[in-house]
Amino acid sequence: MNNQDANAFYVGYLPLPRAHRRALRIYIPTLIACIAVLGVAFAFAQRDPGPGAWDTSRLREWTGRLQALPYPVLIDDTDGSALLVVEQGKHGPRQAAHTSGHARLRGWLLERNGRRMIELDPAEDALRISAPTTTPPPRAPGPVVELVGEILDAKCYLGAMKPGDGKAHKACATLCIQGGIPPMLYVDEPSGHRRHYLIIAPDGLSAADIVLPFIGEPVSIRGRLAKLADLDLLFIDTGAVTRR
Amino acid sequence: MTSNYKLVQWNRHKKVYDIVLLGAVLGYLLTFFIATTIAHPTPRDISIPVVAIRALATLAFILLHIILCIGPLARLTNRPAPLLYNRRHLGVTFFVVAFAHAALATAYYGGFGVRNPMAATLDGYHSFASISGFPFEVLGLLALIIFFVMAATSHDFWLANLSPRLWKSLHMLVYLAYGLVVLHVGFGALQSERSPIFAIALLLGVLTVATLHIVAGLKERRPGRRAAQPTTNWLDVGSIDEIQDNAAKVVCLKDRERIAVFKYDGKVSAVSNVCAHQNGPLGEGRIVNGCITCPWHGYQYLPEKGQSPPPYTETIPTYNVRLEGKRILINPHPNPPGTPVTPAIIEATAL
Repeated sequence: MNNQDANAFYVGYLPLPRAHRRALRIYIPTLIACIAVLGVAFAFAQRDPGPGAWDTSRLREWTGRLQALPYPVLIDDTDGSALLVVEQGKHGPRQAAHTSGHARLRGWLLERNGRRMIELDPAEDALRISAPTTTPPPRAPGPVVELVGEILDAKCYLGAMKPGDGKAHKACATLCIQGGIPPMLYVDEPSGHRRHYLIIAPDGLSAADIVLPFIGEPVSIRGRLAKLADLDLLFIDTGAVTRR
Repeated sequence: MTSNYKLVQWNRHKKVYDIVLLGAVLGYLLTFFIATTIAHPTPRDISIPVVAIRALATLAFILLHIILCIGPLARLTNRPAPLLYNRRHLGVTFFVVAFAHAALATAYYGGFGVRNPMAATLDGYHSFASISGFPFEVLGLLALIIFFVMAATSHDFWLANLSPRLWKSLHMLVYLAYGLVVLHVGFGALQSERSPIFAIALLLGVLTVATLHIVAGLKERRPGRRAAQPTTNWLDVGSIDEIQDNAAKVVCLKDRERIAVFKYDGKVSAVSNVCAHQNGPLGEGRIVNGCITCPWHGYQYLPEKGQSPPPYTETIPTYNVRLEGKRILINPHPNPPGTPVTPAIIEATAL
């Protein structure tokens, strides 16, 4: 570097000094390369959002027994498995879905690890109940257990939003459950298997009010287990959830 | 300099700067999308709005660190000065990116439901008493409000009407906003993600910003920049041999006032070290075309008058100066901005 370069002084509205031009030829490509590397590193470092799928490409129909309480669930005629039922957006199912009976439903499928959900077509005839019945809320005859996991809304978690869990998703999951989407607990077992539990209040109705302060956070939760078709239910009392 | 106000006083450097900046922003967003698609293919793909929210968030994080590092880097060496010159465009670009991140996150996570999206995002049964339940969104919103005030007042119109001192104080809030961003990331993304890369990036970012500011601050406080104690009304601030031609020595008074002592054309003049534009360090500038020239944005002042050359109107305080042999003596009491002062003439025998 000669003396002229050493004393070079940059003024924005004057021609760029040679020393600064040379420096910029190093700074700018280096800076852009560093930014690109950071972008790639951040992109690859994002956690796996899981295998949830939301098939909006095909409207489907299901028939089965609609169980209205605690949250509308369709017991599929073809294989006896349980499908949760919700509306579009962050809304629980329409009023008509709170009537039990044999039903025909039309909508889109959400699925994660075999757990399925129907997002109803907004058309009025997407839900037809042919033989309304009265079904009492389910009971909790099972053993008392203490589980550790995260409470989230079933719709985002099953594929509507990926990832549909974690702290960043807390506000969304809270809004979903306030709107009537069923709250669900996932538990990672030591074997690596992940189990899901639909959370229900002790009277067999919605547990939304109990779980709302704890959504999207690591929690301990104490309750009684039960089954509805292939769906695991967890009945909890007020005060059953604690932050970890 | 400001004889009138234009939205942007364009010149070739600003155009090149903005083209490179826009290319880098779009390039980053595209790179993040492509890399995410490769890293997380279907069926374990990430929702596109979430990818967009994250691309904008990480870009804003990077831009904020570049903005905060350019200043102290330019104090250590003049070479990054071209990056500093148009930093306000970088700042406004950062705000647009950060705002897009916030707007998209609020619409996606807070929308489509039974509540107002803003209310749903900010009042989601948070707990200020727990780390896992702390509302990181509130921290981000507070930072965004500060960045908005800064972006909205970045134009020279506001600089002149708010006064440089108030404007500078307002824009120092960037450090409060930066702290809020660090906490926003710490209570939000770091609790959602599992890879240590995000925590390492945050830590390195904070360390880099802090280290550069400390080193630049230490450089300013080095002993050579301090004045001798006054014996009379005059301060002995050193020898003319310490100052290069067309450059200055910065003298720090006891009350932290700084004086820039320039040597040029066989003369010595002293002015305030603080540029009337954005409080830039005039003493780190040069004499260009007979004018003291600020290293930040090229604002100019006639050294003997403390005034910008006509038609420009900026003024800075001047100081009375005289020589005793090679020693430079300065009256530490500043003259009102724009007061003409006779420069001290360097006798041939003193050279």
